[in-house]
Amino acid sequence: MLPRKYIEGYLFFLLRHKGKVTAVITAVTIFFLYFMWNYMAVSTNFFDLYPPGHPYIQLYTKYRSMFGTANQLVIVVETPNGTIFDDPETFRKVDRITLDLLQSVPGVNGEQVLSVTHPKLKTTLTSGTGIKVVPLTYPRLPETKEDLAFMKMKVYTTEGIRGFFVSPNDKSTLIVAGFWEEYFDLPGMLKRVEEIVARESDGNHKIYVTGPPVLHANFMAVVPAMMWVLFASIATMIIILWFEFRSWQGVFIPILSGGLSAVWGLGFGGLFGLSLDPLVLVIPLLISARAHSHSVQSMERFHEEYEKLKDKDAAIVKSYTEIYAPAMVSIMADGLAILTLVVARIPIIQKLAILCSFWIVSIFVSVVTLHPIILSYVPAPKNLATHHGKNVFARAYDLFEKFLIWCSTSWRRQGMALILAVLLGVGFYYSHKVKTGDATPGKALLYDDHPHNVAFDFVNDNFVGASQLIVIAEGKKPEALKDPRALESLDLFSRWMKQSDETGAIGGSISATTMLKRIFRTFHEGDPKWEILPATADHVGQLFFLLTSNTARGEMDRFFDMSQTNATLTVFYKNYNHDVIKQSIAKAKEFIGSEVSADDPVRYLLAGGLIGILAATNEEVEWSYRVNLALILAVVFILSYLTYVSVIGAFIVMLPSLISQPLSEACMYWLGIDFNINSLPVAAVGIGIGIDYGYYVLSRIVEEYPKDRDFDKAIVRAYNTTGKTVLFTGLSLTASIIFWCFFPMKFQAQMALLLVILLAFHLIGALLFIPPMVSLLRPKFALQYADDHDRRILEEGIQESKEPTGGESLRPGGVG
Amino acid sequence: MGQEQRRRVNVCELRWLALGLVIAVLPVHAMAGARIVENLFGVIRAGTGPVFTVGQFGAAYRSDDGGVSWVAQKTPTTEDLFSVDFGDAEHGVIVGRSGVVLTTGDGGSTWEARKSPVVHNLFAVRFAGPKHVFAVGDWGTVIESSDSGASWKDRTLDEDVVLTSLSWPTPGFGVIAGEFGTVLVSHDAGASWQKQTTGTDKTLFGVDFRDEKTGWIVGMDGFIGGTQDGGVSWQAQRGSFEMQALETLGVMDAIQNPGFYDVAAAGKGAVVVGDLGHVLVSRDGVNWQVRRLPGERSLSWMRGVAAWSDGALVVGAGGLAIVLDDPELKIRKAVPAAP
Repeated sequence: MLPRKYIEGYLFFLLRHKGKVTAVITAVTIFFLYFMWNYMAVSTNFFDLYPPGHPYIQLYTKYRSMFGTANQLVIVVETPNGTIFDDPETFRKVDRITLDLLQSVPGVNGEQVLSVTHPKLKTTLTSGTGIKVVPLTYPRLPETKEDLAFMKMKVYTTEGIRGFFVSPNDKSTLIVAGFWEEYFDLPGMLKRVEEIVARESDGNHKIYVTGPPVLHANFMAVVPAMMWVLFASIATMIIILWFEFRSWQGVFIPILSGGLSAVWGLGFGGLFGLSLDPLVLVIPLLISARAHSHSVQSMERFHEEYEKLKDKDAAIVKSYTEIYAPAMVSIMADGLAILTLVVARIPIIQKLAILCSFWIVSIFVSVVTLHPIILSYVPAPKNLATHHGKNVFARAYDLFEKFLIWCSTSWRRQGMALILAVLLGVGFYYSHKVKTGDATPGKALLYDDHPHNVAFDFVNDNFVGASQLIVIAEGKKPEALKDPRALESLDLFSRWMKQSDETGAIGGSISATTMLKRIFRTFHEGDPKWEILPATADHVGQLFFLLTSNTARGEMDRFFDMSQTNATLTVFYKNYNHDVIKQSIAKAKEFIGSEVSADDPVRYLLAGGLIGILAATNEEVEWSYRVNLALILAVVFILSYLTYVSVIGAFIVMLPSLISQPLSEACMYWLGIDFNINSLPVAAVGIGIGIDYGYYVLSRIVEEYPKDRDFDKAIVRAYNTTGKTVLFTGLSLTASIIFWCFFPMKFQAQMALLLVILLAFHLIGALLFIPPMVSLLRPKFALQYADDHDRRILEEGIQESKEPTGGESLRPGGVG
Repeated sequence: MGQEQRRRVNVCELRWLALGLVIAVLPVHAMAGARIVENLFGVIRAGTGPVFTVGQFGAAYRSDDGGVSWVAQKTPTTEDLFSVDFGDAEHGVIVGRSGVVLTTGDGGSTWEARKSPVVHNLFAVRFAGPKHVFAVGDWGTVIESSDSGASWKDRTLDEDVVLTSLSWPTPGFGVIAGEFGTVLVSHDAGASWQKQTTGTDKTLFGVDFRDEKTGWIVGMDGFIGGTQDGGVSWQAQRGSFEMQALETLGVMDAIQNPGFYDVAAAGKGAVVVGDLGHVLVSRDGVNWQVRRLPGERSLSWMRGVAAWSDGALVVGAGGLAIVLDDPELKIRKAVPAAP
């Protein structure tokens, strides 16, 4: 523990120079306020979501200009009362939407807009005398019944159209548009898309919109709603604080601390360009809660000491001297725990780690530095005993306390140790069942009935799938694709992926071979037996020539590049849960390992598309989480050891965290909460956020122990004082977070629920398990502390009061 | 299809043809194992026993219930397989892309790759007798085996022509069809081939003869030709002899007259399958009724048809397998068990 003389020296310094310190803090706060106000942004940067060092992402970055970005907006036009081939107006609508996407929706990659009316979609026409490679809408957009019949024939006989762009039941057709990650105006895009949907919807046409761009845009759109929930949370905190302290100081000071930390944290983010994604806003909420928690702890302790000493300055020094060590160590534990997230090689997590760790460290200023100063300025609290005694919470706590004391004495201590072991076992068993990725396919962030998910389901039910895995066949020399072996291998790869699919998630696949075979068939009067790959390089070259000479530059990029060196294989998926992604990548690797030889003209590279990005992200999240846990445990252990200079002490204080983490993971499994890039920070910092409860409880027991050198009595006094505060803090935090559980967006609600669970486990763990374990293990560091304490008293000649801090029952020997 | 089997088919009264055909869609018949995802090109029934179909990527499937359910067969190749035939219940041959030849001597349980004398695509194989078998392909390829496919002789024509189909109604009489309206007839068990005048330059995709006199050829632009004199003269039973461009035909004509890819004699008539969901049935061998596949398969292509005494089986795009039985023509996209 920190030497008392340093702590007292610091406190005296603060009180002596409170004007200057206040001025400095105010100046720094204004500085951060400026950057928060002007530069802090809540926005989505898609590249921040990708781990840049992962080979899949590097491949994606290298080739995305060729095969397109993974951020695809999908708009579906459905004709619920008929088919798309009944009325030419359907195709006119598709054409208008296609043009709008090309011309008036911000952020669209024009090369990546595709629909049945876009000239990029080609068909081959054959009859007795010739072959033509023409747009699907050739010779014109359907205007008559005959045109519609012709269109239907082309759709049915052109590979890569039915299932991909037209549903097999002919009732709907889709338009896709890719978005560059760097030039993304999410609100502008969403507004324009909503206008298009409103314009094109009518009694015969229903429009669905889905895909990552609109998903994230939806989150941006609810940021104002989040603010209202935030205000509701703050209001709840104020009410609870008033209920507890019954003084404006009791309300104002914790709120000021939380606000000041928020300004420092957000200002720091603005200063260094660390923006916040709407999906991780729950983390700052958690940090604000920590600031609030520390503030309440210190206020309670100040009130407690003031009640005893009746001297404001003495109470300030006494209370903050005692809580300084646990406050410092818990702030450091929280801050370092979240800072360890920088090992996660995903920018959004790293930025969050830096921003939030600074935010947490700012609590050192907003609470343990500023509080003594503020308290020295404001009038002393009045009638503390009166309203504490009448407090409903206090009366309820009395009952709970009796239970806690009962648990921490006699044979129940061994029983609690056993329960602890059982909980750990249960937690570890179920925590291993949690899988990285989205447990609910495609719907991790929004509820099932959200229009985005309704559209997502519609696409997956009626088309080959909304999500893609892209494999690159990279030529080992220029024009490698003209080697028939390259195309044959690509074709076999495509078939392998479809046939080895055990999840049933693959809806189809497409590559250059799909079109080349179709053209080869067309060369041979349409005989399906000629829908094969040519066996000679000459024939392959002819096919490439025919295809490229009938298309504009770049039109075939999604299948092969202009030099005919590199090609893609695109596999379409109807969902992308953990098993689907894992199995697909494994199957692709299996093919590459077993079916591709060293002298093949191409090498295969994994993996692009949304599935590739998610595979990379999931791998990073999985790795990061395990490494983070190890690091956080190490950091917390070291800090705990330094605090108590005892392995047993460190172990005891970490008990709440040790059981909370596996149990919270088990709860994620039971509740179906997705463990993905967005929940990683919450889950990872969960082990650190509640450590302060343990520090406050253990430190108080140790602090009380020297009075009569009886652990059981020290525990009773700790329960009566700090235990009560810890429970109040935990409950008030839960009350403030609970609003988010009812937030209309699934992810925010789930994360709030996860936070509530984490807080509850830490709280219960600190109160229920630390005291019995102290009583059971009788750690030597507490005995040493008592010896040091007595020696100090002796040296300083101060008569330590033996007066208990609680009621009658706390007299020495009062509790057995 | 073997000669004895063909005779049995020819003499049987096909009640389903007399009763007329109804096309109905049944739910996908699911069995444990992999789905058929390949395009299927050829189909045959081995005597009165199992049905075999072959397709893309070396795919071969066997059905013991007339095509209702299928079991994948292991083949030693990933090349596309185009045609299959059996000389008897045990011996069969499959041919495919780049001269691939596979044989079986155990009724299709195992398939063995045989050395092929050619590297060209082989599109059709038919047994002329119990062990005597011919296969044809592009570049005028004709190969012959006298030991059920174990060894082969190259009998390739001098002419560069794609040969697409052949028929052996009797051991001594065979017919080959191909591009440019080619029809070759042999009256000496394949020792020599005589070119017949068909009156068309259209590519012919299928040929089948009921006996040495009566037969049909099918091809581009909805063409069906019939002969009553062993191929000496041909009548256009559907479509025309003349080549027609899309612009000449018009869109609707092109849709209603797609390519016809295979024909199988059945009783006095025949069954023809083709593109854009077309199945044509003739009870008298002259007049044809069009049956269209319903629903999502309404414009699919079908490349092979096999007929037997009380039914027929059609295979085509994307694992399409259609059972024609009395009194309905039912569509079943069979799902075979894993190999």
